[in-house]
Amino acid sequence: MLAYANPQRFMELSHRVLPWLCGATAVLFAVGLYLSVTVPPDYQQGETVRIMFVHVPAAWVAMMAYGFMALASLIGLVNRHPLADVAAKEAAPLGALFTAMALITGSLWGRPMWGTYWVWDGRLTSFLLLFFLYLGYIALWNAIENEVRAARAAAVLALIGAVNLPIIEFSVQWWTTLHQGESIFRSGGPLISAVFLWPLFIMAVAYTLLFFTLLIVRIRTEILERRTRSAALGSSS
Amino acid sequence: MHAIIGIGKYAAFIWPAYGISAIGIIGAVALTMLAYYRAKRQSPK
Repeated sequence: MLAYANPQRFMELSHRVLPWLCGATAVLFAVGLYLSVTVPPDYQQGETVRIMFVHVPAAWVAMMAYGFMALASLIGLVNRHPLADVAAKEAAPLGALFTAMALITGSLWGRPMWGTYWVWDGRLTSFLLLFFLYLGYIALWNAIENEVRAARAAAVLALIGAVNLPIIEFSVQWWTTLHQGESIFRSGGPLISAVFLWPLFIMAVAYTLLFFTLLIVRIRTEILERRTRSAALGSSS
Repeated sequence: MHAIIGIGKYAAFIWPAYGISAIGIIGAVALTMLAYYRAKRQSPK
């Protein structure tokens, strides 16, 4: 895996993979969106169940992106791989975007179902903290001019912030929350009917592929920009 | 088709949720691609 952490190899490999990733993402979004708007209403949630098909995948990617960022930060710290630092740096704005999308769509679901847009319960508050962790990480990268020092400081923040991931996951078990408990990955099987589970699954895969597609393009952009800066420094010295 | 149009009293919550998701995704794709092509243009051959 680390063999592909060479920027040149990454550029070659990603050039071959990207068209397939883009195609698969587009197809899954088309199928997922069609199913999302054509499933029958839920007997309890009614039509608002459709919000789940954009809220749950965004929340899943928001958490996965942070896990990815923390892992890449760890590899960057331990192995000193510049590409791992770049991957963590480029995952942060995407993670922040998906977190914001999950918070807003969750609010829009909460108003008709709970009677409020927001409540300071364990799940919602820890998820808001995730959003601020992303913003803090991005701010830290931008605040330190030296790229190596910025990467190290941001990596430490990413690793400390990773403590929030199990808090988000288990918040619905640890505290009494308005947010419903685990309904998909549970020992007794999913509580959701297959009619809703399939669109949810397809949209979750589509969101995940979208995240990785955008991440790869962002890493390629950063590599190209660093090459341009190096060339400019080389020609001026 | 009925399912898309006939979301009744919850339309004020469902459409904004889809709209915000669409804006977020389309915006992210557009900004990412613009930055990529700009970097590619400026990159030494």
